[in-house]
Formats: sequence, C-alpha cells, structure tokens
Amino acid sequence: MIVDGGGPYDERFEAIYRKCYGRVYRYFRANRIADDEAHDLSQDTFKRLYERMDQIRNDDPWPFVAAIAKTILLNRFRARTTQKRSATMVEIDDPELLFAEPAAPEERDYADRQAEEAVWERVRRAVASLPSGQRESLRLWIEGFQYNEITKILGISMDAVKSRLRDAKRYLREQLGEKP
Amino acid sequence: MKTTMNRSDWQAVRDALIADDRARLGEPPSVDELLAYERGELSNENAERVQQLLVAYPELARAYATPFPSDDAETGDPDYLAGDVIGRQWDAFRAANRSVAANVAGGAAKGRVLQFWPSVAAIAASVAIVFGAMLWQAHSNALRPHVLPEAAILTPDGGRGGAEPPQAAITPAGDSFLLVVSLIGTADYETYRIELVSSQSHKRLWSSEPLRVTSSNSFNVEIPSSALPAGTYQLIAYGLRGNAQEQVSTYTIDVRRRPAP
Repeated sequence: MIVDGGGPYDERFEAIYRKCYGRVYRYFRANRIADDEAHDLSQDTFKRLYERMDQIRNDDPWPFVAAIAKTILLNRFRARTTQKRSATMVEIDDPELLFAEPAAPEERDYADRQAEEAVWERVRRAVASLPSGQRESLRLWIEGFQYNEITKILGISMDAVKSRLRDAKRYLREQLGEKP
Repeated sequence: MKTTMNRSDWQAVRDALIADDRARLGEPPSVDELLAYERGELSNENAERVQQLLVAYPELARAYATPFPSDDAETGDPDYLAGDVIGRQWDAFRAANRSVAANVAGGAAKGRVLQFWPSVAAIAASVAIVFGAMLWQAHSNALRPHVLPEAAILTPDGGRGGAEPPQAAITPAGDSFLLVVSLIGTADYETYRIELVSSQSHKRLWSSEPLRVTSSNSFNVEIPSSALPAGTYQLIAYGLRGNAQEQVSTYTIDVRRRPAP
C-alpha cells in the first residue's frame, strides 16, 4: 500500500506496478531513451495510472498502462521537436562562440563541392517529384525504418510498402541515370 | 564528377527534404491527433496530413511506430530489470507520490468533504448574479426620466469688478448638482473646454471634451454630489482654436455639506 494514501486501489496498483514496470521501462529504452530518463518516464506513467485507477474497466490493465506510456513518449518527442524549431538564436558575434570556434575543416576542391551539390539537388528534386505514397515510403526507408514500421506509420500493407519502394527506386534510377 | 551516392550524400539530401517539409507543413501533429490516427478515426484528408507530418518528423514517427516489448523478458535480455531494481523504484515512487495518493484517496471520498473548486464556482456564480442584478437596475434607472436639481448659475471671477473672486456657495441637496457656466464677454472660439480644479491642491479633477458653444453662450455641467467633498473648487473655461488654447474665464465655487437634520 502507498502509506498515507489510504486509497481504494492501493493493493491492486502495487501489483500492477510490480508486474508492468519492467515492460514500460523497456519500451522507453527501445525508443533510445537514456537509462535515467527511462526510469523517470516510467515513474510518470505510473503516477498518471494511479490518478486514473478508477477508469480501468478490464481485468487486464496493460492496455491502459500502454496507452499512458505511449502518450508520455509521444509528448516527450513532440516537445523536443518543437523546442528545436523554436531554439534561441545566437548572435554570430557572440565572443564565446568566437573563442570556441572549431578548427576549419580541410578545404575541398571547389569543383568537387560543386559536383556534389549538383547531385544532391538532382536527387532532392527527383525525390520531391515522386507520387506522395512512393515518396513517403522512400523517405521512411531512407530514415532507416523497417518495412513493418513503415506499414504502421503509413497504415498500409507490407506488399504496398514493397511495391511503392520498388517503384520509387526505379523512378529515381530513370531520373538520375544511375544507381542511387 | 560524382556518380554514386554515399551515406553522407543521402544524409544531406534527407536533411534538405526534411527542412522543406517542415517549412511547408508546420508543427508536428498533436498527440491526440496521432492517437486518433492510430485508431483510424481521422478523415482521409487529415490522415494524409498526419502521414506527411510523420515523414517530416522521423523522431516522432519512430516513437509512434516502436512496438511495446513482450512481457516475457528474462535475465540477460537487454534492459531486463530484476525484481530488486523494481522494488527500489517502487519505494521511490511511494516516497515521491504520497501527496498524489492522498489526493486520489480524497477524490474517492467525493461527497464526504467539501470540494474546493465546486465551492469557488458556486461563490463566483452568486457574485455574478448580484452584479448582474445591479447592472440591470442601473440600466433601468438610466432609462427613466429624472428631474435635475436647481441650477447654480456661475459668472466668471472678477466679472463684477471686486477684488475678491466671487464664490458661488453650493449645498448639494440631492445626488448631483447642476452648474451653468456662462461665457460672458469672452472672445469667440471654435470650441471650449472646461476643467474642474481643486483650489487647495490645484489638482485637475475633471476635464471636458471640446464643446461647441450653445445659443445661450453657456454650458450646463452636472456633478455627482459624492464626487466633490466640501471645499473650494474652480471651473476653468479654455477657448480652443486649432491646436492652441487660451484660458478665458475662471469660476470659483464653494461646496458645502448639508447640515445634519
């Protein structure tokens, strides 16, 4: 029991906590979250669960726990993405930046850089001109998503993912005249 | 000339495409939208938008797509937690969340204790009703005809040739008193402005908007009795022409309190 609480669900809650904590923690770790933060997010999950214990209708509490954990995880990633977009701009004349300025990379040949940027631009245009379904599948594939993850994200079948990727790659080869 | 794409090339293209998408599509989808998308509750149009946003925000897409691990982890599996580790986490949870537990327990006993927010809401509703009634009454009074008190006709100070400024003695008998400010012997101005000033503190208490002169060459000023405590005040008339103003006359009044019956 949670001492001092005297809540009506305490014994059941403790049982759920002990049964599900490890699984929730591994879920956060599977999403590449560091050990300490994974524990923090797991504790947040169970704190929210405790506040909503009266809403659990089924004998199996896992779907409820999983929904809370997923909401917490998505909120965490969404907040980070939004923070990045609204990150504070730093003055380029900031003296600290001047002193901390990293060594300049070795200068490459101008012609090489021009050629490289031309290739990037061609690929970028070719990808942008793909039909939306193929483009989204290809983009996720470039990000390193597995086929089963792409099916989940785009809500399409495995066969559809495979055919879209095959068509997209063929289109790019035609457009670029080479193996991308 | 480059002929093949290596990993860093793809990375550069990927970054550029993501930047393009984010600029075009805006903020990532909300968690509620994502969960609705997962349940298949969005319209085709909205579902398509969420798909595009997930492509534009791959970190979020990864979190969305990562499945839950199975329930059969064993010692030696990655990130497996032994029972004693979970026990320590449980102890930490209990220590950190006693107030939560107390609140939840209080929530379960709903009806036995006075709930704070419902009480505040009830008080706020009562206050709103009282103010509403007062406002309605004031509005009704404003629509009714009422009789103005007898007017005190003011003449400019020094207008009678005396050394001492004349003082119009006023004893308010009702809620307000009426002053008739007469413009005698003043030059013609486009408009006039009247100020009320305390003679003691020289503080300006009120100033009118620019006023067009009437056929009677006077202005009627009604002052709430409660606005002026007993004392000496001056009404000052300014003539306005363009952006310039000139003080044209002053009227001193002596406000007295009505003796108690």
